[in-house]
Amino acid sequence: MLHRRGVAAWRFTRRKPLGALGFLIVFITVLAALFAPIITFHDPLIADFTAIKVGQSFNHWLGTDEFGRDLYSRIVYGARVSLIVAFASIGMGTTIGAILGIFSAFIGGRVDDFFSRLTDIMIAFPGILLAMAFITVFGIGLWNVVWAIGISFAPPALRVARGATLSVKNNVFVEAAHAVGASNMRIIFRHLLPNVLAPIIVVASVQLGSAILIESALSYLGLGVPPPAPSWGRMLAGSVLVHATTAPWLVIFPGAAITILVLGFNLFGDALRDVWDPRLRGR
Amino acid sequence: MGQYILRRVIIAIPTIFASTLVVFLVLRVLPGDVALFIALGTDASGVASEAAIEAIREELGLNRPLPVQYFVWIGNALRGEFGESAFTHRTVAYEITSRLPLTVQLAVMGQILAFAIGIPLGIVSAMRRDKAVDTISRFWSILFLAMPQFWVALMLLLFTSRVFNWSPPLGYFLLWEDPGNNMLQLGPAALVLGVGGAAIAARMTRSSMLEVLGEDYIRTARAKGLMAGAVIIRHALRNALIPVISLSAVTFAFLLAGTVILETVYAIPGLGSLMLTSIRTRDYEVIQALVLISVVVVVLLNLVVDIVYAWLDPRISYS
Repeated sequence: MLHRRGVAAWRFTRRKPLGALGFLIVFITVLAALFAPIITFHDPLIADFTAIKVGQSFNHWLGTDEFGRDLYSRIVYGARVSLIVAFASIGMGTTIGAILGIFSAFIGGRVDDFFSRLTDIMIAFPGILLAMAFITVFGIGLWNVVWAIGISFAPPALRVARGATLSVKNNVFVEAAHAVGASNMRIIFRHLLPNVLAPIIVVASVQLGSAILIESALSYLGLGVPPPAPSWGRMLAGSVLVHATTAPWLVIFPGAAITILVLGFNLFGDALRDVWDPRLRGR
Repeated sequence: MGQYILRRVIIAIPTIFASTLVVFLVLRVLPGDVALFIALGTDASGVASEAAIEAIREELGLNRPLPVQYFVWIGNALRGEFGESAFTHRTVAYEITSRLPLTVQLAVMGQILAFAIGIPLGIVSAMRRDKAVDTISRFWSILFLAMPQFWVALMLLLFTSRVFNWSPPLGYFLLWEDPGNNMLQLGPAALVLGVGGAAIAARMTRSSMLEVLGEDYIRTARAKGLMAGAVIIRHALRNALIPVISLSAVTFAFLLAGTVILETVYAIPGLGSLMLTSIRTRDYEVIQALVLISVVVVVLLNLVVDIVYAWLDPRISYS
C-alpha cells in the first residue's frame, strides 16, 4: 500500500513538476508552522527596544520591526494563523456546500431550483465583501474569521457536488441499491458520496489559495484574527509604510510569505485538477 | 430576443427581492438588538443608556412586527432614503453619492486596463502555445494571482517614494473638477487593479482561444487559404471572446472588491473606504445601505451579462 502510494507520488511528480513544487511549498510551510518554537530563536511577541529596525543578520535572519521584534519568528508563527484559517474555512465551507449539493441534486425539483439560484447569486458576490459583512455582524475573532471566509466557499462546492451527483445518480448501481431496499441515506453516503468526492477535493484544493488571500486582506483591514497572534496581513497594516522607508524588509517579507504560500496552494490545486479532471487538462 | 430579455428581467425581480430579504435578515435580525448596536456607536463612552436605546428603537420602528419593518425599510431604500450616518450626521444617500464617482471610476479604469493588457496577452499566449511568450505570460498570470493586491500596492508606494520621492496626492478630487490630481491619485490604484485583473483575463482568453483554435471551422478556414491573421481575428477571436465578455461580470465584481482594499491603501475617499470606516465606527445605517446596494449591483450585473451573452452567441436559444 505504502509502495503503491510512493509510485503514485513519483508519477505525479514526473507528470506535474510544478504541482509537486506547490505541494513541497505547502508541506514545508505546514512543518514550519507545526515546529515554530523549535526553528525560531526569538519570541515573536516580545519587543526588544535595543534592536529596533535592524537589518538582516545572523541573529535576526529577516531583520526586526519597529518594536525590535524578530521578523523571521513573526513570519513563521504567522504561518500558523494563515494555515489554520485556510484549512478550517475551506473544510467547513466545502463540507457544507458538498452536503447541500448532493442533497439538492438527489431531491431535485423546487429544492434543487432554490439552491441553484442561491448559488448563482452567492458565487457572483465577492468573497471579501461577504466576509466583511459577516465580521460586521459577529465581530472579529479566529472562528468568526473562519466562518466569514468559509461561507463564500460553500457555493462553488455546492455547484460541483450537485453536478457530479446529477451525473452519477442515474447509474444502474444506484437503481440496484434502490431495488434491494437501501435507504436514501445509505444511497447518498455509500453510493453517491464516494463517486463525487474527487471533484469536491479538487474544488477545495483550488480554493485554498483564495482563502489565504482573503484572510490576509481581512487582517490588513483590521478585521481578521485579533492581536497578539502575528498574522501576515496585519504585519503590513498601520504605519508600516512609514517605517518601511528606512526598513523596506518590513513590507517585502510578509507579502512575499503570503505570495509563496498562495503560489504553492495554487500550483498544487491546478495540478490536482488536471490529473483528476481530464476535461480541463491543459487549460 | 425581446421576449428573452423580458423573461430574464422578470426572473431577476424575485432574485433581487430574495437577496434584499437576506440582507435584511442578516444585518437587522441576526445581530440581536440593532438599537443597542447603534446606541453604542453614537455614544463615545461605550455605554448606552436605556432611554437612548428606546429612542433609537422608536426612530427605526424596531417595535413593529418584522414584515412591516422589512417593507418600511425596503420602501425607504427604493426612494433613496437610507437614513442618517450615526457618525457624520449627514444622510447616507449623500455619503454614498459623493463617494460613488471615485469608486466607479477606479473600477472602470481597472477593467479597461485588465482587458487592454490581458486579452492581447491571452491571444498571443494561445497562438504561441508552449513557446517562450506563452510560458512568460502564464508565469506572470500565476504570479499575479498569488500576490495580495494590497501588497502590490504597498510595494509600488514604497518604490515610488524611495526612488522618485513621490507619493499619490491625498484628498478628494473629482475627475471633472481636478483631473490632474484625480488621475495621479487613482492612477496607481487602477494600475494595480488592472494588472491583477489582466492575469485573470489573460488566463480566460488563453483557454477559450485554445478551445476555439481546435474547432473544425478553424481548420476549414485555414484549408480554404485564408491568411493567418484573418483566421485569428474573424473566425477564432470573435468566438473566443464570448465567454471572456460573459465572465467580465465576475472580473468586475472582483475589481469592485479590490477597490475596498486599494482605497484603503491609497486613502482614496470612495465607497470601499466608507465601508471600512463604517464597520470600524459601527455606523450601521451606512453598512446596511452599502451591502444592499452591492447585492443589487451584483444581481443586475449578472442580468446584463446573461442578456449580452445571448445577444453575442447565436447558439443560445431564447426559449
